[in-house]
Amino acid sequence: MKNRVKAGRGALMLTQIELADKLSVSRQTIHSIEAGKYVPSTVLALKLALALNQTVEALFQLEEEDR
Amino acid sequence: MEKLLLFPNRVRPLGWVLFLSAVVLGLANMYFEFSWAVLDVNKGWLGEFYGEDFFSGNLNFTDEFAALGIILGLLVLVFSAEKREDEWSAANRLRALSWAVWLHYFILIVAIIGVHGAAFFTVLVYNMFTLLLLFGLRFRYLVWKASKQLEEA
Repeated sequence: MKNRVKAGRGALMLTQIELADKLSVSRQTIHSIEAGKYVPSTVLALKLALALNQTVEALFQLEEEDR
Repeated sequence: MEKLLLFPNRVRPLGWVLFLSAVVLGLANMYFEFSWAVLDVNKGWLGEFYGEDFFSGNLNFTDEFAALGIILGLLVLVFSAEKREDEWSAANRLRALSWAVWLHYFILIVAIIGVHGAAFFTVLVYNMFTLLLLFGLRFRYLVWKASKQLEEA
């Protein structure tokens, strides 16, 4: 699964720490999601979308091997 | 996020104190035959309840005290929450637990095949703690690795 969390965060000029604080998660969590090493739960994906003013579908897309 | 049953982060130092002091006591008991006379249970109703020690005839609870200290210390250490506990830490706990169970039983299987007699008893003594120990070490390694990658990014 690929995601556009880093781009979405950049668009709002948020640091990883600021986004992590907004969502009450650790900075490692944001970093791992952005690096594609961790796929968040539905709840966290929805919270991310809300915080970045985007839809979940815009933030997360399935890749060929996920289908 | 489904909440795991965890101790608060602030109790972790207590886990270290409990674990390290119990390890020292356990090793002193196992290799230098150190025991606390106050933990002799040959007298009174405790003595009647437990009977004589199978090996020495003298039942003393220093080793039980150490074992319980190590287990409780490890439980506090490995099941105390991170400063910011979230679903990423929970996922890492699961990964670390799975890894630890595999390695713990691999070590036990090798020991069953390769170690016999009194030495196997020693293996079993250490085996009581390896699961929690491996789980804790692996979890800390995963967190350390992620922090290192974060610093490098």
